[in-house]
Amino acid sequence: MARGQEPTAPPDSARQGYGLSYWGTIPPPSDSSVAPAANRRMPLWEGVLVWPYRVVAFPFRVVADGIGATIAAVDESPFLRRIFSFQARALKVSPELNVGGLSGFGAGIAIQRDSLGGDDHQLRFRVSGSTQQDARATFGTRFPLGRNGRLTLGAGFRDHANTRFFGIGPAAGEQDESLYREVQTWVGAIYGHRLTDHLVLAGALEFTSSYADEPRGDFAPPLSERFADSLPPGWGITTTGFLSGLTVEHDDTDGTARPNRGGRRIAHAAYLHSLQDEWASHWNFRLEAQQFTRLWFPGTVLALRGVLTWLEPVGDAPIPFQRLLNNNDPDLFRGFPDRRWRDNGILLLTAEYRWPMWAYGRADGAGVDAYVLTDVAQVFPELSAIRTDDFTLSYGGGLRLVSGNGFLLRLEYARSAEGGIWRLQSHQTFQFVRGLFHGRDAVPAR
Amino acid sequence: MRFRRARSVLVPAACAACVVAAVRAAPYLTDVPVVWHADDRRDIPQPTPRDPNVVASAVDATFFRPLGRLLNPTRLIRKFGTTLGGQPAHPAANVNALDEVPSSSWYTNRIGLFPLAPEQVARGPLAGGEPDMRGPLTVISAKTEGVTPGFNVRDRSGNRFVIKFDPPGYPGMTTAADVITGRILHAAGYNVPHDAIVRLRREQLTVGPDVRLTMGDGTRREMTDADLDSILTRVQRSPDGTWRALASRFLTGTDLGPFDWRGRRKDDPNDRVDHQDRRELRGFRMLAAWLCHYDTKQGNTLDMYVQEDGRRFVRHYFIDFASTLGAGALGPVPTACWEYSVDVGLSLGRGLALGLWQDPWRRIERPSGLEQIGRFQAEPFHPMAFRPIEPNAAYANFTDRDGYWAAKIISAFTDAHLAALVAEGQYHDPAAAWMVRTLAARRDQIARYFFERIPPLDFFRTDGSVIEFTDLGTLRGLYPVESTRYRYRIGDATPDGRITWRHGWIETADRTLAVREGSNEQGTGADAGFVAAELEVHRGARWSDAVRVFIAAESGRVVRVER
Repeated sequence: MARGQEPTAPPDSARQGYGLSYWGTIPPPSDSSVAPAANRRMPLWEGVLVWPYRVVAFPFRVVADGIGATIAAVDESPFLRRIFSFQARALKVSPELNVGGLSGFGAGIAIQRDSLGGDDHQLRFRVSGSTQQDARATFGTRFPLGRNGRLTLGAGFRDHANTRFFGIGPAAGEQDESLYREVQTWVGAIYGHRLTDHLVLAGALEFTSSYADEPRGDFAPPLSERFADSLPPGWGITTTGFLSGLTVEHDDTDGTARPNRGGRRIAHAAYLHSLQDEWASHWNFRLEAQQFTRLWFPGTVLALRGVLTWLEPVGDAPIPFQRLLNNNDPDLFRGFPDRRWRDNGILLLTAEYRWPMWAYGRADGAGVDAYVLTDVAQVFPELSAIRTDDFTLSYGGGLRLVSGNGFLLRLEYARSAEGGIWRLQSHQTFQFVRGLFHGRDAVPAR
Repeated sequence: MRFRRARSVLVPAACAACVVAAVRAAPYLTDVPVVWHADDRRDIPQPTPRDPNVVASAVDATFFRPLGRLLNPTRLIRKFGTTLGGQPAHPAANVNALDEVPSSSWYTNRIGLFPLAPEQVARGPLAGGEPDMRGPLTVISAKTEGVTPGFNVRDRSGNRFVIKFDPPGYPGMTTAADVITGRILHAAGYNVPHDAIVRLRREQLTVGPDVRLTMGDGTRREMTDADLDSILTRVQRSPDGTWRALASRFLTGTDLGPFDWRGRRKDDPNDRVDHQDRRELRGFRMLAAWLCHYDTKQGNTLDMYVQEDGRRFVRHYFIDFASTLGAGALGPVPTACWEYSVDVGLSLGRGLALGLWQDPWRRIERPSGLEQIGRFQAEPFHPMAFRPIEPNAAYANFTDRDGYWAAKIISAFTDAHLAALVAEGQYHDPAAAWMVRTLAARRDQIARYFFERIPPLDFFRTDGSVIEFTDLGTLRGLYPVESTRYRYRIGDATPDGRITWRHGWIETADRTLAVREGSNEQGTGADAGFVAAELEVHRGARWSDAVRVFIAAESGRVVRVER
């Protein structure tokens, strides 16, 4: 553009990319005003480096393309589409897999229907098996009863082919690890009544049966061999009983799988009436408190949990060893193998510091949190036996993956005086809500 | 026969060698007209439509491509070089001698180079592109599933439109964002469909014959009036009984599917520049940052095989601007524009930070009392902190020069332009005023960021005795004129780019440089062929980097600008 010549009038050609511009007059496109564009030539040094890289990377690129093609094929598969649309409308079908550990390779399937007859009437059936002959089949259904009530009915069978036993009490030695088979069956009902927005009162009635005998694997010596001189009470027999209990639960967490505030408080009392005179009927008491406290930023949370649970035998008869409390879901002593400790009572104090690593779209939606943890715990024969000398300490860290619908996967490593344990679990240590519907006792009362 | 065979190999090889030699021998400076239009609209046979799988594309873009870039040794070296002032990628391939983008089937120079009036900017791609609301709108297809249902209609003129609604709970938010962003991108130079806000009345909608609905289980059946009513009951109705909706006009031509942000469409002979090296696609990163245009996955691009002036070629479009200006197709997304959907790098960083660092997006709230505005704000905002829904190959090649080019366009939108554009979104006040203020503030932050890195001395003009230039920093109100000084030196340049300076730096407050007559031992400008001028600007702190401009001595034409 000549000096002093300013484009003032805004002609409409300007919207088409020609006319009087800040650079001067831009001609309209014509055969004489266009030029081909082409890729810029690569500098020599780049060529020297990039071609060997391309050769080396080629197989990986092929693999990546193959993965992409597989994803596309699966995503666009009419068969899978049909299954997923079937799931969306009728049944939710979810596979279950388990790899390693005392169960070996396990596989199963859970089928759930969320609106059977009524909108809030759910039905769930679950079956699984493993290479180490573990087996499980559970059935649950729950539906509203009245305006604030909810009735859950459930039944199940679980065969743990290889269950750990180290002895009873806080002094049980790591070197005494042994195995036994534990078979449980149950059928029962729980009625929960919402008293207020945060307060629920629940009553349960269950028939339970428990049996212990020789294990089916050879991971460790059988219990009958290791403890041949002093077999625990209950070995080799079936014990049955009726469990009736009451639970009061106060829950004012913020309702997500990544709670920032609030907590849960649970008080539970149950009575197991033994159907065999030689085995003790007993009370099971449980007090649990969970508290979530937001720290300096949203998402950075201190999660605290305290559990005190114990059994009180009625009469002089012993409680079968397989019904004693042990460190198993949901009362894990992380850093120790499941069922490492077993006795009449458990005291467990847990602290986790969590912070967000990834959030998919929303802060409280799907995402990943990192956390560090410490557990302090002990088992005890009676309340008066609780003492700090018997506390076990463990510490570690992990990742919590939360899906959009609240499903949670935890991968964690915890270390104790007895070594380290990696754990992959698909529910929360906190906010444990499984019950009869999901094929679990409402509260561990074995 | 043997000779023929040999000739069939040797002749092309010789030609290729000649071309290579010619390219190598091409002088750095030539006195030829600046290229303002790319030759990419030649008549071609119709390319094959693409239909890449959305999930596979996302996985590739999120994991495999970034990994490839991370391990690429040349990129690693360039990455280290950035600490010494280098750039993370080679320069864009499709720029002209003035470092501008020639108009093409991808891009048309508009507000960046032309002084458009606000009403021109606000008009959008197509004058009268809205549906004719005086007659019936016939539903020709529909989508009943999903959170935001919609349908396609034909107006009485036969034009077809996609009709979309705001997501439940966010009346007026997404439709406004879509229209405003579309108009801005069009004014900036990109190809977009013509979108407009319409108000539908039930009595003007009729279901056309043979409209089939696909149900959730895959079965299909004929659509009825009841289905239309069902769709409309799921979207918010205005107090006057109408439904506010977005009408997006169907693009003309044949749908070829999306373009990839990397590589080229192999069956399009006009597509000769790798997309990740196109300036307008690299620079789009800043437009997207400005507008918080989050969802720029390849599925939101579209190639159309069009016929214009007797030629058939591919024109490249951006479509679907629902996820912009803090809105989202399903409502505002808090992490939008701050991190990729799966942001491996940021996630690992946060893991190591132990929760002692807070994401900026967690501090952002929607402005109170403005229900049509999403999570869109002037603070916190940093142009380079913007991240789209997934890593983008063109954004990964973004350099400061690409950013400067984009900033130049973005800063060309005046407050009056923005007010006219935002008016097209039909916000209620004070949402409209708030949106104009926020867009202006983000615009200025982008411009400042890049004008600090590359001095905005531009649009050089000369009559042989003086060189005039524009200081976009002062012209666009980012820096005060009073505290701005310039220094320059003039020299003689040979065609291979060697410069002999005639004198040292001369300071001035004027934007006119005297091209002094005189010679030195190497000769005058006329002898050397070109005059070189080097400029720097001082705004109170330090002298900026230099901008160099070359002028052909004989024609007086600006033939090259270096930044």
